[in-house]
Amino acid sequence: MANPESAYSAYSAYSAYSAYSAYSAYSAYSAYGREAPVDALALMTNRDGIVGATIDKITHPNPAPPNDPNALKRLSTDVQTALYMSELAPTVDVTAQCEGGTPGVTVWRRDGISAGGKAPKFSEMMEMTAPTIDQLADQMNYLEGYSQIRGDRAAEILGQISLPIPFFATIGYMDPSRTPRTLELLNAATMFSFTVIQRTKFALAVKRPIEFSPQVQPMIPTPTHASLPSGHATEAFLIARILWKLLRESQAPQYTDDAYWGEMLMRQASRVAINRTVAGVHFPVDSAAGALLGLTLAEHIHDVADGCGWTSSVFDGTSFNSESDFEWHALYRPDGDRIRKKIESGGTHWGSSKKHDHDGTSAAMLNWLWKQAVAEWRDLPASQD
Amino acid sequence: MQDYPDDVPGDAPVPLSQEADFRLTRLQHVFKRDEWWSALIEIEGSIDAFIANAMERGLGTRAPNLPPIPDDEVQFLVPVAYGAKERAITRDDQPVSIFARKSTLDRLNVRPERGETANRWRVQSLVLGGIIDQEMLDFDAQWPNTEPHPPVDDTATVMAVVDDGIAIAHNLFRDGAVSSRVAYAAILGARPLPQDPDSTAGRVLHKPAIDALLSDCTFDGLLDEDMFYARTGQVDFFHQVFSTVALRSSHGSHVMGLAAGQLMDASGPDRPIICAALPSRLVEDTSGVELLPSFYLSFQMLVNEARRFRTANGDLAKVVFNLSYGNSGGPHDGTGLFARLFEHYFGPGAVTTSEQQKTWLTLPAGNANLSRLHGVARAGDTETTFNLSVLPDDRTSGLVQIWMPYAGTHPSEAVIEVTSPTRETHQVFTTGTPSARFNDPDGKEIARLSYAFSSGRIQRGLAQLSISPTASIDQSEPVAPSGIWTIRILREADAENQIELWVRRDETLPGLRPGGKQAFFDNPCYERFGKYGEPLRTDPPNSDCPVTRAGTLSGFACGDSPVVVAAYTARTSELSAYSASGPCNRPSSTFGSDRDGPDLTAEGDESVFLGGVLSAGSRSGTLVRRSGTSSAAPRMARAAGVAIHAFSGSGRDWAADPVSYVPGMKKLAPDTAPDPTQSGSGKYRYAVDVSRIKFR
Repeated sequence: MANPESAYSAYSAYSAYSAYSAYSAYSAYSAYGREAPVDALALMTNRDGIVGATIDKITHPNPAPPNDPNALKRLSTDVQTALYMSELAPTVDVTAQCEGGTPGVTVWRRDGISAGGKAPKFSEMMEMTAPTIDQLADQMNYLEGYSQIRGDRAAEILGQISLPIPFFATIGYMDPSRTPRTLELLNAATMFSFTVIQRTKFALAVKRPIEFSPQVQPMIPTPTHASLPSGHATEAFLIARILWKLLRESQAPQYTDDAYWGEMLMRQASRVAINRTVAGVHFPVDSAAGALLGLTLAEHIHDVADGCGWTSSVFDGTSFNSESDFEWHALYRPDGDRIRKKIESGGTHWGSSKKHDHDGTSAAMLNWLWKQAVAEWRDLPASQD
Repeated sequence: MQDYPDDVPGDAPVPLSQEADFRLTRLQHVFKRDEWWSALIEIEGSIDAFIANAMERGLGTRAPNLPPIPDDEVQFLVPVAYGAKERAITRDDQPVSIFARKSTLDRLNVRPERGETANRWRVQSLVLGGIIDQEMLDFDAQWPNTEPHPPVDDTATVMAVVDDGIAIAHNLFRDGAVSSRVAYAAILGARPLPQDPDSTAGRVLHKPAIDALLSDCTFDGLLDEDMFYARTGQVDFFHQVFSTVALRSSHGSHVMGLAAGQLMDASGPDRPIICAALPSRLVEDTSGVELLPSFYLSFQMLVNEARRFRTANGDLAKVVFNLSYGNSGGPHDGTGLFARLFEHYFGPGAVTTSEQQKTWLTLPAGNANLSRLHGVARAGDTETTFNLSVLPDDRTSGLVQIWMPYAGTHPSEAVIEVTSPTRETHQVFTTGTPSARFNDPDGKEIARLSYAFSSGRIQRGLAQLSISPTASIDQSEPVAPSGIWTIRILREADAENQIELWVRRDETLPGLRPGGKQAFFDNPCYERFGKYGEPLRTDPPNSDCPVTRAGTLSGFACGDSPVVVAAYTARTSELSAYSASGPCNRPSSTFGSDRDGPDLTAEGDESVFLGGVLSAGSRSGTLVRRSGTSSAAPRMARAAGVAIHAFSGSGRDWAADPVSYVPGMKKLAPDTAPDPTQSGSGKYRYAVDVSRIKFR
């Protein structure tokens, strides 16, 4: 016969356990972007207990507004992301060409928001040509030099292998509760850019530093995809510019007085990019190309979402002075939020940009998301007493 | 019993400096292209006469006052920091920092004929510095500007700092967003620019150029310092130019922050800054490096620049120099080349004395107290043994200096015998035998035991043991065996005074990938720990162990004039365990100093576990923590900057009782008796208010 005390303690242990799993089920359920069902068996038996006979007269609900961005806020994050992707992805196309042995790639931008079933028209949004092997071999000097500060940067490099959102969150005050739309927007933007980045890398097939010398010995594994453009640089500048746009549009006084918030965001992006050279997995020219791509895509997304106009840009890798380091100021001015028309450094002119007006309407769902995100940066109005 | 006489083949000349010869004959230097080196030579006569003589003997050089010759005929350079007037001055011995090709150094490094004080090149002594890339040298350098600057306040003190990576753009060294307090920065490791021809090595930036760079690199109110240091040439990764300003924490920035840092909007005293940033290592040189030539060149440049500062009434402004470097070599009696540096520039016989400029110098006492780098063979001991532990995988050469007593009144003879870990034994005698070599099984030299008498001011015999690296990735390079190298000193029972041994501290310049491991004396009698397991900070009383903590004072810091600063730990008010101590090496020649140890002690650590003190990091808005007597010295330099106005005597005299001349300075434990070999006149607290960061 079981000892009554032990039976009691077994019971309390059981209830403690189920209390714990109930708590974790709740927190899993309420966790950002996750769905975890309560035990189906419990729901079945529960229903049996309370359902009762079919109700005779029952009022029907109203139909939901179809295709209405207002409904987005009731959707789980995965579903929202899929919808934003559905608006963004068809706005670009990528083609590769090889002229005279120089690989090139073009990112095209669809004119107008939707083709409505007809054949869409595209304009060049970004053209990139790859630097030559000789230029890259020259840039190996930077790999050598920067390797001397690996110890200093190690913690950052490891923390920046994944998306550097936590680093940007020290400048722009982001948090899943405070700025969920901003985070969703950045998530959509980076997810969208990922395929563009991979297509352009694939088209240019630029080899990684590790293939140039046995002495690079990168401090993190070299990813399998090609070197230029740098995905980290693209993402970092994309995030930085979108954040800066949101801050500016919020009209909060601290963000509109001079451009030091934008400057700091860009410094952060630059740090992420250069850390990849320190780590031994990128050339400085990769960061130059990636930064330009990221800044261009940020403007594209802003235009698709909110009709601000867009920028086309050109990156001529063959003209990049291989003795030059990556310096982001050559590409972009936070004050005025614009990519420079003429991009040069190290005495050579290797890039350019041109602004274009907005054509057509904005994408409805992205527009809703953009406006929600901007609102997260506005000061809250005081409540009435 | 005589060992083999020096086995230099044939009638090869005996080297003037065995250590220089040892380094120059390491395999990697023998077969390279005729590379350029820095060196410090003592010459007899004038610099002009030295140059003329060298040219006559076939060594080409360039200077603003010499006819031009093609680049590939240039064999040596005397930096333009030695101006035209100075080159004409004749002296019995003057140290000159030069750059020369290896082949030239081989020719200069020859012992004088018997009875002569200098060799046929007029060279009396030679210290080999380090390799320098020819791209760092400007063959067409012009004389530096000596025009006076606009007058400074009467209360101004020029703060002169010689160090490694110095973040000259840090907000603590600016008095406005794009206005620097740095009037002059000699970046010895940067590549020369054609538009700045006033330096033979590296690049000099004057305030206008620094301010222009600050402007160029400021965007939306923020200074991009990565860009700034790329533009100054301090960090140029493409050309493998490295400075510790590329790291978060740099020695020079920290030191300068303590010595001269001020908040940007503070209305502090006028403290213009002039500085020299030492060159970084370009090429992996496993023969080791000596910083002395760079120190002399830095001082030469800064002394010239300091003389351009005058007050409104026309007097030369007062100057405080800080050099936060220490070493373990030299005779430790004030006669060594570095100890003489101050006298050379600021003493009564200084070259540039048309008008004296009141100058004090602060130096760290050194951190080698517990490093087991020092030993003594005492009078009365007929045989003293040292177990030199040479570590495996040591990628740089090692050196032990064995200084005989002052030869003046009681010459003392000795036999120095060295046995390698492979049981090979050689001896040198103070009565003869210039050198003996240890060879590897293939007959290649892997260590050298040598003896020579240092005449001139030192008047001591010096035996040296040079040991090759114990590991190399180049399989053709001969390596020495690691393990215990036994050094036996044999003397007569009535020999007077001590023989002093120091293991050279492996000098490392910024940029060198660490590869050297410090050799040390591992004698069993050395008691490291007390009965509670704590490291003993002083030698146990009545210890007769030949390896001592006493006498570890930095070799640089043994001269008469500098203010030598030890370090204490604030929480305990005790000397930090590493802080080096006297006494100095006495008796010595008449040129020796009367110093017993440090002059005073300043904070080097907050507590035993929170070591170091806060000062400037490498980027504006940052502070970092660094420890050591290197951090204690510049705090006293800052105090000296105040005291030098009110106190009419020398820096060292001030240090004997510094408090009354420096408002805010406090003596700890004022009733404790001073301890000349440990803490000098005492421990002093002096706040440096740079530990506040202001955002915007």
